[in-house]
Amino acid sequence: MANTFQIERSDKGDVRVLALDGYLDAHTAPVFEKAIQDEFESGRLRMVVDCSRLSYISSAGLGVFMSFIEEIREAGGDIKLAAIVPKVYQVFEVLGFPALFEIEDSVDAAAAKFGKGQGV
Amino acid sequence: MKNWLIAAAAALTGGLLLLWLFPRYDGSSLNWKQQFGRQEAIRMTREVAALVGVAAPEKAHAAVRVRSDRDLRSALKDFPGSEVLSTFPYLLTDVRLTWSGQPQEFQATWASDRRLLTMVWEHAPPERTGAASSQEPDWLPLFAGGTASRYKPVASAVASPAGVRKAWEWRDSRYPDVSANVEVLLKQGRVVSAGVGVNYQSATLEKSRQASLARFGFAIGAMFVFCFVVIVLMLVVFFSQLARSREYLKFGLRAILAVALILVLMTVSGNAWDEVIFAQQQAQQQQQGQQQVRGPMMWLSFYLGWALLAAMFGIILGSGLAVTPPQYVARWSSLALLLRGKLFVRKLGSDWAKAWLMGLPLAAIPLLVAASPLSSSHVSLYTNPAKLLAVPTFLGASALAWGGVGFFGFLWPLSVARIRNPWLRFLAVVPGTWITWVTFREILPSSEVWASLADAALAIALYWVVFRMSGVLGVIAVEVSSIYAAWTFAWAHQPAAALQSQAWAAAGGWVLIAGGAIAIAAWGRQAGELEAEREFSEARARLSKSEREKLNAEFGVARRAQEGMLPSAAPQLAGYSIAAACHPAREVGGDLFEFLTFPDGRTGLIVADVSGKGVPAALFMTLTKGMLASASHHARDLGSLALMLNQHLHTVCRKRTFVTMAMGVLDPSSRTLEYLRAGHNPILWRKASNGETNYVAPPGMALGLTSNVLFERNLRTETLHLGSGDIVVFYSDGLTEAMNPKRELFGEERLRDIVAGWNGGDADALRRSILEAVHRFTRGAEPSDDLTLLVMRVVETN
Repeated sequence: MANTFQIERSDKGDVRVLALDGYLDAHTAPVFEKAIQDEFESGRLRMVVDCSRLSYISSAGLGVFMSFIEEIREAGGDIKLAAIVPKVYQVFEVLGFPALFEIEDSVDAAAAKFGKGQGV
Repeated sequence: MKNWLIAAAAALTGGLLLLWLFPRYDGSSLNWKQQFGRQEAIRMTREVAALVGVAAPEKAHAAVRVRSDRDLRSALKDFPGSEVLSTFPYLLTDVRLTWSGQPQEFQATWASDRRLLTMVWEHAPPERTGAASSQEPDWLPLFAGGTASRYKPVASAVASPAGVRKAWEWRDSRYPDVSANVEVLLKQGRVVSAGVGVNYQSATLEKSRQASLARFGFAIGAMFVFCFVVIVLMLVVFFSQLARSREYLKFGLRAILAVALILVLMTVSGNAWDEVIFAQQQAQQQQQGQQQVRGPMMWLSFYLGWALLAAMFGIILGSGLAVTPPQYVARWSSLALLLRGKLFVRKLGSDWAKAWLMGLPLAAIPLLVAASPLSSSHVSLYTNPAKLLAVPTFLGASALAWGGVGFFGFLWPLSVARIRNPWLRFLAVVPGTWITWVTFREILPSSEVWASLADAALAIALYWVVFRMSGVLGVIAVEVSSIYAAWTFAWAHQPAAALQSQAWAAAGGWVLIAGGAIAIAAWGRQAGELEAEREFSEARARLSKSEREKLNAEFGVARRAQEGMLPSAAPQLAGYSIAAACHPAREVGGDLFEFLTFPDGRTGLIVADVSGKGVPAALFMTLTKGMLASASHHARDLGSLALMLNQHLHTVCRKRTFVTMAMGVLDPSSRTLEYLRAGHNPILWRKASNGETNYVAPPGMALGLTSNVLFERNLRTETLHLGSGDIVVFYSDGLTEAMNPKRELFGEERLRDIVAGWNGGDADALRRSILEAVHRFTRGAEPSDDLTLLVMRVVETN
């Protein structure tokens, strides 16, 4: 299995978009964790994770979302999820993630949700 | 992509530079002027032998060697304009014919312009019965050619124990110390030896040699110390690493095997013969023929010498791999692929191709420096022209790219691993390497210090670029390619037709190799690369045998402890059959199943999955189990039980991990199953009444993710009213996500089909059947996740 995983960074207004590409599992989770940490430490608290090219996520990957979310929300920011493919969305749903994160169909829709002021 | 462009552009530039600069600045094309090839040399030698009386039989072995007389060339500097010296050639070709029967060895030495310089028979020429002594050739023209008239006889028919001697001399008009002699030795009317030689005593030559030694003695001394230290380090690393892992030893051994291939090539092509024969002759000369040097001994020492080289090569590579820090292990992967014979892998082709192309600019660098104002002489790319006529093996021999491999394979990774400060690292490694490089390459005259330093610096820089592009394999490939290319150019510029056609063939070969590597890079298979990388990381992580055994023993204890924690038997409930199984993916796992008995007599059926696998998950699993046991005493109902668990886990896990759980509480008398799904896989319920089999998935978040507020808001408890014959299956995602070799998942559908179509027997039988189906599906592939299964069947009552 080629555990390839890449993150593409871009911006939509003042919202940081992290586009995930590939497999997010125990091997590649540290990469993602570092990325979120970097954004958080540089003060970019509004993040949208573009999951359109995320083909697989394991519990380790899910754990990454959880690791910083509380701090980010306390600081007034949030992580919103966008464009999750059905197969991956199923995993999110089984675990109950939709209750924790705002999940939108597109990056634009997710970014727009920030416009209303604060995060969750 | 960028690397390909760089390599292609560099190759083009290098090729053009070579075309333009080679004939102007390379010593081989300026000086050698070889007019004949190997076959012709042998033929000429046979003719000369016939000329003096005995024809060598067809099956005589021929050994050919090319050498240069460097002293003569430097003497020309001391005696500029010496008419005598200038008639002597730069390059000498020795041909030695040996045959048995009436054992005989005949050797002739030729100048590159086909002039015969010497000939000699090793054994007394055999008596020819009946035949008149062959006509004595006219010696002077034979050896002196056009300058015959300059020679004056100094000895005619002087008798000595060795035979009858005739000699002529030509003394240089400008330099009385310089003279040329033609000497012929006859025995019993037959020529034993004949030849022309030059004599000169150069006091200044001696002086300048000593001067340069004094000047560079320091550098040479420093170089030797440096190399000595590096070699000692290498040996220490290699033998100490042997205790840790045999992977490095295996790697080194494969490298040695590669060298063995070269030896085979040398033997088969006859080049080995060449070297042994002349080595034997040299040894005999040194011993002054006192003792016949045994042929077999020479062969043995030849192969032993190569074996030693091979061993050193293997040691360099093995120890280099052992000290490479983790971030550079990937640089070894293509070499590992090559040594394991996995040739058709894209990474291998790509790395090789790019490095191969870079061989052209590497060969051009010395010429560039020679053409620049830094240098006023030409390049001697080949200090040893011995391979001019010995084609196949030079390529292989030069594949033992010591400098490149020694530095990039061993020294530099060692310094990265051991020396923190980058400046210190630079100082420790670069100056020594630089001096070594300069001294070994010997491309420009040692008097041109700046030019030599510049050449070495540029070469090291280019090697660096190649190393970054293509790793250790690239360093080897670029060196081979540059030598290959340079030799091709050297042959192309010799007058001999045989050598020029050799050049064309070689050029074709170079292009073929480049093309082949590019083809592999484009159309080869992907797989191997990761295998090689994984092999390395496993090798590096591999512990010594005793450490491994200790760890395995501890794992064994942990596994047994964990197995002991799981319920040993399913609860015996009248009217119900229950069975469960749990298979961790590794020695210990993060899944659990549990049976609880509540104070009110109800039975809890729980399956849980800690996110992750292995030891960390197992620790949280144990914790969860403990929490479950205690909470079950205090909780009023299923919902509050879940809240208690969530609260505790949220605090303890601290978002590092979470636990999913499917919990059912069975009331045997009312046949209800109160069910809660905390982020876990939904349970499967087959209703006997209407034959429907469906997944039941009420909302619920995983435990430990968030505080109770949000958790409770998203939690629903569902009550299933079971009928006689109903089946309920709890499982973890290790079951539905079990993968077969084709990377397909077992999936929910397959599980549903098995349960839906079941009319076999009790829960235990169904459990076994499901596990068997999974096992068959995965075809024995290693499980990637812990697998848990709990089956409950309501016994059929009529």
